[in-house]
Amino acid sequence: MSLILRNPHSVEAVLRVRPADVFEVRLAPGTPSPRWAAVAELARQHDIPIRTSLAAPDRNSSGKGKSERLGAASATIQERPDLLIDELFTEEMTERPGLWLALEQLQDPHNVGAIFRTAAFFGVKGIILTRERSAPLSATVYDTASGGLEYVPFAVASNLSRTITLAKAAGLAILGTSEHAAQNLVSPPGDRSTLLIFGNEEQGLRKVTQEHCDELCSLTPLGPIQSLNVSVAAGVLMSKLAPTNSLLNTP
Amino acid sequence: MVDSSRRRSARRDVLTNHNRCWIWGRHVVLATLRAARWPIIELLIGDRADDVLWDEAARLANEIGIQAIATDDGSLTKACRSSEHQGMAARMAPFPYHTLDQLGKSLPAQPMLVALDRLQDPFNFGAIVRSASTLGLDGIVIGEHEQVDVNSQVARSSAGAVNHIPIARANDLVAAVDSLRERGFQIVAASERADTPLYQASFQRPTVAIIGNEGRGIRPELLARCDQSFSIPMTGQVGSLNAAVAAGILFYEMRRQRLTS
Repeated sequence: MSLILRNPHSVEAVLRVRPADVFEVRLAPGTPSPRWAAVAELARQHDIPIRTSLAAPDRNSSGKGKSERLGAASATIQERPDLLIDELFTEEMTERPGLWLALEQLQDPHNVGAIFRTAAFFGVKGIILTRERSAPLSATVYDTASGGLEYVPFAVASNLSRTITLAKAAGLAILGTSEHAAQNLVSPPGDRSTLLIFGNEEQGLRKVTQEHCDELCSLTPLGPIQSLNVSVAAGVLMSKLAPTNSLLNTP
Repeated sequence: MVDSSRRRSARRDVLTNHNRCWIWGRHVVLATLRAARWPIIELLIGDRADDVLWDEAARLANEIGIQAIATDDGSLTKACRSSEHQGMAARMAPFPYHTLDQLGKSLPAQPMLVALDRLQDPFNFGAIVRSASTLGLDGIVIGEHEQVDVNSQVARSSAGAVNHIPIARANDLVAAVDSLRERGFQIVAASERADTPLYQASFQRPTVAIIGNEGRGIRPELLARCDQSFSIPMTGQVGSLNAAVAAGILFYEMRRQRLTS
């Protein structure tokens, strides 16, 4: 399936990682912004058609207003294929300590995109998403991820039971997140690999998933609002658990 | 042409003219009613609300001296221009920003503040307000220029937290930061370009952390006033952090240092 991206950063990432999957780039008439000019230059190097005279097609005519946050330029790309769950936990992948994420029924595409963006920043090794009742990997996810989808391998599963089984077999600690967990701060990761699981924005983790976690943690809620936005909570935990980070500078 | 420009100006009214600002959704409207700080002009309850919700809303409305008005879901959708109202919407008076002086008087010992330099995305602003409130910061300072106001989107993405943490708006953010500095605050900047990692910074003193515009970062006049700049260490190969995520990581570290000191 093809997607229409409107964030120059996400288009640039596709051009760098898999240029053959960019079908065309459309620029608004006139001088493009510096970011889009860089995208156009990359596209030119790969002989990808660049159009300037056409209005961009409506990506989502009912999604009123969202795209106004970005410019009129766009690019049509092929979506990135997902991997098998097994491919995320191969011996080669799990040889050195790392961090994996599983997102259970996350419904807001902005949250999913923001998590991918942060995951690329912290070098997360793989993300497993659920299929049912979850935000599909739409253009909004790609654009919010700002290129993150090109750098973090991902798999899609119907539920997380096989993911957890495979992760355990590969020696990972399974850490679930829950507002109601007794443990506030995350225990130091040491040098062990971790699978960090986030649940739905409203309901949190499913019970059956919680039961399979080695540990549950929450982020100290101190104000009157119950919890952090899931993409912010994910960012805080990734900053704490990404292994090289902890070796370098986490106290 | 005439048509489209008229539409555009109507939309701008919704976002900037507070007399026409609506908030909607049960959680946000109830949080705002309970906090009783941001004045509500009109409270609408749709048919989908059950008796429990009705009683709660009517009681809270009564406490602040307004009436809850029963209406149908269609009229609600029309009023707040969204179908995601869950049976509740409220038309809001201008947001009651603190002045810097008011904020100064409300602060505990060793306060932690965040100053936002020209933040433009309402989703980021809302998420930052939510994180600041949840992680126990004492207040937020914003400027008037090129800064998104507290509007419906900000209220929504803050999950109602705009009611719980003081937000001070200063005419001139640089002058506001100067004045906080004179009151003994250290000024620190979160900047992608800084060499010092976040975890080497100390937040034990009264602190104002500055977060910059999504694209352009912190303006030079403000950066020049900072005692130190630090960045969040990247451990992957590529990328940058979203402003709201970076703010969350920063607030968490500020809080952690206070809790473990």
